[in-house]
Amino acid sequence: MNATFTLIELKRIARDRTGLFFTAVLPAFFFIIFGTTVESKDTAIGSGNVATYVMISMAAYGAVTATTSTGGQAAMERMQGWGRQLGLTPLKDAHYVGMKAVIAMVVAGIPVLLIYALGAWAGARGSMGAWLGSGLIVLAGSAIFALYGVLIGTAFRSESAVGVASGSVVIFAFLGNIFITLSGPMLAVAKFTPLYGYVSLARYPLTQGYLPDGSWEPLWVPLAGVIGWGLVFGMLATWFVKRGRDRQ
Amino acid sequence: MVRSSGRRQVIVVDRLRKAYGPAPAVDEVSFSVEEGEIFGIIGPNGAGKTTAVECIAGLREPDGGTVRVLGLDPQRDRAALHEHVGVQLQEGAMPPKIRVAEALELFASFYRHPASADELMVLLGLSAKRHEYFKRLSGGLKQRLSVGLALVGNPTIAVLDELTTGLDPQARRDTWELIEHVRDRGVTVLLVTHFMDEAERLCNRVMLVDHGRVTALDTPAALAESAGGGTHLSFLPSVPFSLEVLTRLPDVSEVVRLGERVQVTGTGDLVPLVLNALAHVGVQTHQVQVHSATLEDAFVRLTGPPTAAAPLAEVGRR
Repeated sequence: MNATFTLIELKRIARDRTGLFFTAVLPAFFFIIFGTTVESKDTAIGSGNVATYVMISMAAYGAVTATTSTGGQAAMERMQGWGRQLGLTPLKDAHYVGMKAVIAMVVAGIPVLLIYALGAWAGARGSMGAWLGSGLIVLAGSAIFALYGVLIGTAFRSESAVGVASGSVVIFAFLGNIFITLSGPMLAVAKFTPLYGYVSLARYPLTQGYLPDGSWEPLWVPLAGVIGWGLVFGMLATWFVKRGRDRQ
Repeated sequence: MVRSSGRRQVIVVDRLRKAYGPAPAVDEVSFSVEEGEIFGIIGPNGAGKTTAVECIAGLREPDGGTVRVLGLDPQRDRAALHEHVGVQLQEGAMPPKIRVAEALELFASFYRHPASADELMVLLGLSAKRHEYFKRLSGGLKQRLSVGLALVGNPTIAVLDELTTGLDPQARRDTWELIEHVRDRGVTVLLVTHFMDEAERLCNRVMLVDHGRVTALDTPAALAESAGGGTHLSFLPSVPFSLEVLTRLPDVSEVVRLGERVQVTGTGDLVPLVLNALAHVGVQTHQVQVHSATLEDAFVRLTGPPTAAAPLAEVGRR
């Protein structure tokens, strides 16, 4: 673990105001709008209330935006002059990947901490297990979207593609039962989209599987979604990275 | 690994071959670099200079031949190689929002025995810009920083590729001085360039590459002389004299009268030779003009238009 590298990377991220706005400020703003100003915010859900439910959703959205863009930027860096420059030093690939993974987790932690702090202050209630469990799942699960960022960055090889990748998280969020509460056929379709399993799993410690429309789903449904999409992203990212290497 | 000059050979390339398609980018290239010298690789764009350097730096795997850098195989011993060889890339980009000092400290953290980032900034003339973002640096300062990244590991060998391309004349001169500083610190420099004045000023020896092949390898002066027709000396004699005085000199190839002036063409230390011979017979010289063939003359002659390919291949076999 190279502390200098990690520290300088974190400083660079702190200087990226636009990036921080989209990964932390915007999801926090969404939480305040959708989670703390609605009438139903104190309505009970599982071991907590609606505010907690929205808090987890928005933290997940922010964390995934953060890991997607970190993964995408890392992929771009590797392919551009900077990656070649790093490739000429004794720095090992494994150290680089490990450092980027730490960075992605730290950056994902920013919206989670911010939104959970706002939640505690603005009336989100729940058991200790719901708070801790959901927070950890949000953080850990966001890692698979770093792979999504890597795969988009490597496949399209452009900065704008990385921007589009983080932007596409918004669409996945709508489709994945994060921004709006889905029901009926839309909900059935949503279960196959990338963010659904992740956010449902994160809410599980709070809801125990009960959905806002009153239905219940077993734990294996969100788990299958997370594992399935993790595998898809992982395999595609590996394939694109390999293809990129062969082309050099 | 020791040549007759007694100096250690730090880079030995033997029949290196690398192709990207049907046409080889580097074809049977052999040369060696001695410790402490500035060795230049010159040649037109697309001649294969960068490919050769990338094979030496371990960035590309050769299709044939061998490369040894400090006795290491750049492919197999990459990690060890990068501890001792600093490389500045032709298109080395840095993240826009990394500060000068940060970039140097970052790279220093990768090496076991790094140079001090502060001292390097003094050497590079970057101390005043230490807090500046990379994106705000001028072209010349960006190049300086990139040289710094190649030096921060305290390398034995520095590979510098197209270092001064795109720089203004003052920045180029400053960069040249910097390279001389680096050499004076005991670092062997492998310099890739397509500027002849740069190679002439800096390099102890230069290798001319064209179409992936070595067409000449010698000191800049010897190359200029061999291909550019040597030195031309012309003067106004104080009294008439027999041209035989000069034609019998060993290094003189031609003597002609141009009106009242006399023009002598030859090689070697032509000027003192001619002036001494004339002084012996009581002839003084006025309005002396000397024109030496430059590396550029040699370059144009050796790489020339495509039709001149035949004599070029002949030089290559020397």
